[in-house]
Amino acid sequence: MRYQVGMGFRRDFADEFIDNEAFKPDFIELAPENWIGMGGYWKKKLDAVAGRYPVTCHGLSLSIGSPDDLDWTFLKQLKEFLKRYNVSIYSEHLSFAKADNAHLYDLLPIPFRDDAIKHIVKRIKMVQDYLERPLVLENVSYYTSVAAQMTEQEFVSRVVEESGCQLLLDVNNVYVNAFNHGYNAEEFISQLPLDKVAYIHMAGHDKVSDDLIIDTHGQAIIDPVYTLFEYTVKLLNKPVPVLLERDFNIPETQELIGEMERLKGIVKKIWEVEHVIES
Amino acid sequence: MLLKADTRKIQEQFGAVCRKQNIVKLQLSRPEALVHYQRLIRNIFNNTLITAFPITNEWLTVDDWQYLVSEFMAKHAAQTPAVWQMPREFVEFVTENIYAATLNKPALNDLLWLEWYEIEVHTMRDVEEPPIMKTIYQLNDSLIMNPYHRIINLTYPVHKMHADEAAAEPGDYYVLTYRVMDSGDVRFIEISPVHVFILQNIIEGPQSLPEIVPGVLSQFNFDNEEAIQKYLAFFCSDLVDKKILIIT
Ligand SMILES: [Fe+2]
Repeated sequence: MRYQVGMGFRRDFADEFIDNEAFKPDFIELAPENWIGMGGYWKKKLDAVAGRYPVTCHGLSLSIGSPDDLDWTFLKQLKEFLKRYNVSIYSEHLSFAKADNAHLYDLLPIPFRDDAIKHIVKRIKMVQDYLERPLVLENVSYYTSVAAQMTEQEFVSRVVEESGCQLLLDVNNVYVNAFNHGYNAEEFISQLPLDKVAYIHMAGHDKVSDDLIIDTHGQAIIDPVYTLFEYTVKLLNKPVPVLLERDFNIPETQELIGEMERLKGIVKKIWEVEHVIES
Repeated sequence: MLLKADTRKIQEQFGAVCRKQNIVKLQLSRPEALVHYQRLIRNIFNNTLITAFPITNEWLTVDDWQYLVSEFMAKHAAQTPAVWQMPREFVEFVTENIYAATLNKPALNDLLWLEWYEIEVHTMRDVEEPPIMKTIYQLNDSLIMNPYHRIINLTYPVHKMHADEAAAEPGDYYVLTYRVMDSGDVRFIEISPVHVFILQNIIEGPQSLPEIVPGVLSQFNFDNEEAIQKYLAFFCSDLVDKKILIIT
């Protein structure tokens, strides 16, 4: 997928993906947990949209950083789903969503610790072996670190390097985290294992107080995040798919089209030039 | 174990604090941010449950609703990785722990199950659908059931009246919830125990009404076979029209 800009597929505006000719993302991303085992009306919509667009998957409940065991029943269903919809990229979050045998349905921050890295690296390898595909893990937004013994930078980089997984670089999350935890976003990105970046997320957020931003996916992308995106794209040595996430407060479709066009303009400007130089 | 016991414990404590919405001292760089995790997770549970049970949510007082959500989050370890299936665990939790008695809302369980089965039938996994070869019912036609349905047994008639009024009319009510095959819409109809008997026979294997009627007569102590068969033929014909029953 060269210079591809996709859009998260959400039920709230599912019909736009199917009926609106002006709205044509290059691919769609969906959460497999929201669709596995689903029949009837929504299954028909899923099949219609999957017939129209290439599909990537972005999971919610794998809980790679959980102290609990991996859920093999779920992984089996997931593997079938990825195959059925010819999914090119399966990404997940570098966080945990389950502890003490209870799902929380949200992304909780993993303690940035050496033993957590070793635990996660082993699990990533198990998942990759079973799914027979690389796992692409996302740097998540977090609002507090938990019993940390190293920086987020070191934690993320080591998980990626030691496991051999790929990185979903969420540029908005870097912006949010840099703001919330007082670090330099560009420096953070430049020190990541950028050769492992396989996918990019872009989204909007909500500033809830003078010193806290929450990653809501409920607003348009702000200019400083576009700037950080451009900075990131320049550092990558190969084109990767870019996804616009919008989960709440869905605007007029034209606004989403505008955001995707702006993202595409940036990647085309940078990657096309590099491609010409390469060849 | 690569994960050390103390890291595991910290993660479990963090999860527990989010579920129980209490304050525990954790090693956090920004302790004030914990409330945001608690709020975000509560919103996910609350919003998912409101979407699943709009009528129950509307019916209960805000305090009762919030109490149930809190109890569920704190005391139940959600098992499904799919958040849209979590409301089923909520109904089971509320039913098993007799919150209907705690809140003095006798019809609570029935209303929750009725709302849940609507979702369940709406989203029921697709199967190979039997072809509809014939649409006009005749008495000797062999019948099978639309695969997307549930027969629900209620004590309170919450399917046809406000849950508080239903509480005053306990009985033995049956509701057939089914998915319309073309549109995927879910509808329900009230049926009688005799209808349930007929449908259960048809579910066991393709049968025609005359094959089932002798069982109806003995089961329900009826003796006017002709009248019963006529009455049930009308029922079957109606269900064929609605594509709940399919002629094979
Ligand atoms: Fe993201």
